[in-house]
Amino acid sequence: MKRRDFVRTSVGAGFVVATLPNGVLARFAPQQARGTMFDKIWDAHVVANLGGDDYLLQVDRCIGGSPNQLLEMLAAGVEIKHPEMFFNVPDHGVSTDPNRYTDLSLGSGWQQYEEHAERMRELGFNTFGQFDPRYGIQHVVGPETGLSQPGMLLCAGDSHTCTHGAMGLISWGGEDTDLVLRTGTVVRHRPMTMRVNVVGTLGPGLRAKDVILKIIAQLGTDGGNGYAVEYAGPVVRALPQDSRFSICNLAVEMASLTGMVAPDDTTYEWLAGREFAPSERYWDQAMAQWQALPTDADATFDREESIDMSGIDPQVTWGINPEHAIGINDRVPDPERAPAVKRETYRQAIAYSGLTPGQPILGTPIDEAFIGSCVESRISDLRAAAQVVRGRRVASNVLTAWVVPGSNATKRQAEAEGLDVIFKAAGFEWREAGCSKCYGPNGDYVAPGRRCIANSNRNYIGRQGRDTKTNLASTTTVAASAIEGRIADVRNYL
Amino acid sequence: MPRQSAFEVPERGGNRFLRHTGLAAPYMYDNVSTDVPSPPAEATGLDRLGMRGEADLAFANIRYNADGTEKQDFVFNQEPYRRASIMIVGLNYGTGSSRSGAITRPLAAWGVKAYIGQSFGPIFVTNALAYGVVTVQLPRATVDRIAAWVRANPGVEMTVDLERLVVELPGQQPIPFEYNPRFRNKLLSGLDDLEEMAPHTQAAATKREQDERQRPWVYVRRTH
Repeated sequence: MKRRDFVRTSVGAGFVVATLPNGVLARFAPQQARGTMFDKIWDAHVVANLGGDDYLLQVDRCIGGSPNQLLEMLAAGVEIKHPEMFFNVPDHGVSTDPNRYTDLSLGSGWQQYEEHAERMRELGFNTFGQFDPRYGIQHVVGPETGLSQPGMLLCAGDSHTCTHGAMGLISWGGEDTDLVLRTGTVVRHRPMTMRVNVVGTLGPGLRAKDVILKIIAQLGTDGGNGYAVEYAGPVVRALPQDSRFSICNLAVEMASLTGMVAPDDTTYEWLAGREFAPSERYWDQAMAQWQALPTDADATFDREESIDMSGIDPQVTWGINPEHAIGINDRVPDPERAPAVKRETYRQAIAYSGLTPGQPILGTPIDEAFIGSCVESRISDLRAAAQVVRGRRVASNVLTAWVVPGSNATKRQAEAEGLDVIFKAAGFEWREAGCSKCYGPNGDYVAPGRRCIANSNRNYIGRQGRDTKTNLASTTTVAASAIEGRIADVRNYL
Repeated sequence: MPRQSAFEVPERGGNRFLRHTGLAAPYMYDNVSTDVPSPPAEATGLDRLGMRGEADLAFANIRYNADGTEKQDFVFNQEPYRRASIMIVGLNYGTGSSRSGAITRPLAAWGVKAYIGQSFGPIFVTNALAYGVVTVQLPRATVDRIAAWVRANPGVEMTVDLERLVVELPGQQPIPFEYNPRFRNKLLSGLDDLEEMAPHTQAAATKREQDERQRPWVYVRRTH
């Protein structure tokens, strides 16, 4: 009996796993499982079926964003089942102001957090506080420290936890992490599977962010609703690991439960040697299991889509949700000519965005530029942005232009390479690591009514602040736009 | 001025829903993310006015001007929708973040216990379940028809009945809907999450033990 068959049988009964004698499970090695990568990983984590397509699943890692919930639970005498699998990385509420280390009033909750951090460490909770060299945005730190590994089920509170899927694992965010802490398990409805084959050739100056915006523009902000999405095809295969995170990060922006990319040599090379990566002792054994994870050639998905990236322009959003992405040479659409079902939302988007139907998006003046967030704030992103702004100046109409590294480690690396000097010389503010203006009670907001071009992931009404207009784009498009003071074509800076 | 929350928001988990009768408010936009019903408090600019309660923050950016006065074009600022406790929504409502404020804030402000829409964001659905709020999914044409009925019948209440799996508009044929049987059972019985998970505690422990032998590298030790 193959493991997959075993799991399928056992979930129906619910308790079969518990009644098997020790050692029986070991015979059903994971590499024997067949199907899609999602199926293999899901099946390997099933504890019990709860009826229909709802399952109780084992969680391998849980990342928490705020110590408050945990401290409250401890105060109430709740038993935390597996403290070692929990990592506390408070990112949303932390100011990225350079003075944050001395002024604990910046952001929110830091005073309290620092008071409790030591106690949490004593209790056995892994904690990366703002003073920790490993601190940063959860979805940058998880992979960067080797916590996120192929084949895992990883849960966290934040919805962009789907980012970790680029390591070849299942991950999602939800506000039920207290249940994960209490039980080491989580309940979810099993989604359908979708493969998005990204084909063609990506033109010069285009990045992973352009790819995923194009996918969402085509499939819709609801395009992945009800699905777990595997991003595949030659364009994805050719992306460096850093950029694969950008793709999976926006899986939730098409309403998918999660996004994944199959692990390959790019992934393994990227992971090897990181703090929590398997040690030498286990590496070969881990590799053998990981190499069996990718979707089998004969596996079937509930849905397959193929999207050609040949000849696409850099993407930028004009409206109020991520599917409102258009090519840099396109015009803002006219709601009255939009499909009837989209008209009402397009009207709302036009009214909110302050743009005129038919106007070219290229050249739209901006007030702020933001480079950071869990989408593209890794070292390769910062290098690419520095390349664009080197020897140039941020336009005088741009009131703030920020670069916010995704983690302390990324910041150190960037400074070692002198990227901070390039950004500062160009007139950018070089900030501390954190979520910053993408979202969070951290004090970093776009000023009311302003237009901000951002490399982050959400452009919804009020996301970055009251009446703020967000144009999502790639990191390098943001860099080029900051230089011109209006939405710009990065291909003029290659 | 700070407003008192008119409706109680329960603790997360184990909340019941059998049926709810009330006025409905149509908000027929697509892909409305949690950022809209549950904006970050500081970014609304209203906390300076003392408006920082759950009820105040519901839809704050599209509901209030910066000075705290009401925006007339927002549906809950219009009669009779001020008293509405059901929302009629479009495609993929509540997409985006995992913030349960998207459920609890409208619950605190107007007692919104039921949503009827074409589809919902997956995390929103999970949060709704936890707070005893239902998300009724129906084909777009049906949702449009319900929204039109609401506009044509101001002040007339409708009922969402989870026991009988119907939406009832007075004078109309009951509109049947489907619901995840496990979700329905939890809502009807008030079954708590931990109670639901408890029978599987031993299975989970055994699985973890077995798995630790197969994937020892996954299990981080403090001395790692």
